[in-house]
Amino acid sequence: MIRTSQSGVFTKLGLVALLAFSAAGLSGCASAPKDPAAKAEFERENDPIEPFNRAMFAFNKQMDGMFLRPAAVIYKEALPGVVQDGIHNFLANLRSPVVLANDLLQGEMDRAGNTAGRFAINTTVGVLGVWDAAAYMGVEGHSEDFGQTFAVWGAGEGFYIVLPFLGPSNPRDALGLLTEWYVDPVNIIARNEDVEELILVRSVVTGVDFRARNLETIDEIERTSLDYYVAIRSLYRQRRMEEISNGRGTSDQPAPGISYEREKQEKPKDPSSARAQ
Amino acid sequence: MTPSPVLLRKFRALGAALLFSALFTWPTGAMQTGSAMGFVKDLSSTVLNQLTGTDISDSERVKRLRKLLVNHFDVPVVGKFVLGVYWRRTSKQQFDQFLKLYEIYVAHNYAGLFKKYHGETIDILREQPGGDDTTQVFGRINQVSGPPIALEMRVHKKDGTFKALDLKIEGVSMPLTHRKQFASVIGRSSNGVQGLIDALEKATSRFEAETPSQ
Repeated sequence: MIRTSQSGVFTKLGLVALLAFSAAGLSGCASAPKDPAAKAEFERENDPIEPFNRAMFAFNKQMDGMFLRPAAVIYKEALPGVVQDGIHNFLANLRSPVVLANDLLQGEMDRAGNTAGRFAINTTVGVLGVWDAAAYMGVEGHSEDFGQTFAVWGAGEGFYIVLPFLGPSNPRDALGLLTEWYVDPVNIIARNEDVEELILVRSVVTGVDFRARNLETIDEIERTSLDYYVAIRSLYRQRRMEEISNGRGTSDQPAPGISYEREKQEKPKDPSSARAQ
Repeated sequence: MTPSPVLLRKFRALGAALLFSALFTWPTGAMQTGSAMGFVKDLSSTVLNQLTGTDISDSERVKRLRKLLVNHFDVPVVGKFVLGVYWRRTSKQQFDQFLKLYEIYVAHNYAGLFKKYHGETIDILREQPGGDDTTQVFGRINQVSGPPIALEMRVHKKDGTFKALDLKIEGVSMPLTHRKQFASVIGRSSNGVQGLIDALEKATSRFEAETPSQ
């Protein structure tokens, strides 16, 4: 049950998000291009609220530039690598009950055993998860979430949406995030003990840890992108497909060298015979 | 059931030994005549040897990458793919111009990512038919610290030689990401494909200016 005491910091965050949503919402929905080829691409992207999403993306980028990235740079430069690894391991271990629940809900018994074993070893031998003792023993970890579980159960991703502060998502994954927020045992304990600020602290540290670990990669993607928004949208969807399939392949995605019925009809075989219209 | 750590360690030691011996004994002609796995194994060891580390300048890394792309990737097929439905509207002259710029663009994209790697090894694990006479080769990059990174390469044979078509790292394909971005740039431009060529020209000029030669 949600207590009234949580209203403080979360209400403020909610208000900021609502304002950002409203401001972005003024820009309206995307209209399909008239050109048939461009229209077909537009429909495949399933991003009907692109203007809103781009506005939200710009808002998040602004927040990242003002707060998250500088914090990640300081975090990375000020703390020794071993401390950063310890924090990362601790946070990952704290999420183990959620990962385990999703392993079980997806019927992935081997992976559930792996998660349970890692949680037992790392919480004890690994001193509350700070040291990834299980990985040292050769048992690597993995991540799962409710969005992936809903996908395994057959739920489609739906349209693309950029959430304030949280970034790329879709209705299925957003529902997954909400579910996790409610059922995560750590959050339940924090709510029951009236220390809800801990949930926010954990979220912020998780965000800083993620940004710090991907500092150069994210900067490099931004630097080399012709359309950073589209690059992130594509990367998010590809990563999610990979995570949902647990690395068993994403063969239904378009790939170079593979013909598609639509393209076979539209294109001549030899590029040298193609000419501008 | 999770395999025991001892067993896993033995397998890893065996894998490392096999990789070590493969790296030093694999014939250089594997790229021309061997299996798809042999081609990828050879290409990946060339990439690790030539492109990682900080002992070469950024411009040299880009130069080497471009050479590897031209020699071992089927750039025209990848070029057609990244243009997607717009390829039909591209003149031969535009396509040639686009391919040259795309080579430079990709070389700069990958160069930044390879720069931070040093000391990694690559295991090539298996292959399977990928449809339309292509083969998918699966492997993993073993990091110095951190979990292994999944690697997948799609290849096909052209004139008796293997050529790479796609490289996925943790399920993410750079050509697919480029295809989405290029469609967006073309869709938003009043000049169609020429708008993309202009944007690529601008981006590659910026990359060249930003890349130190020392």
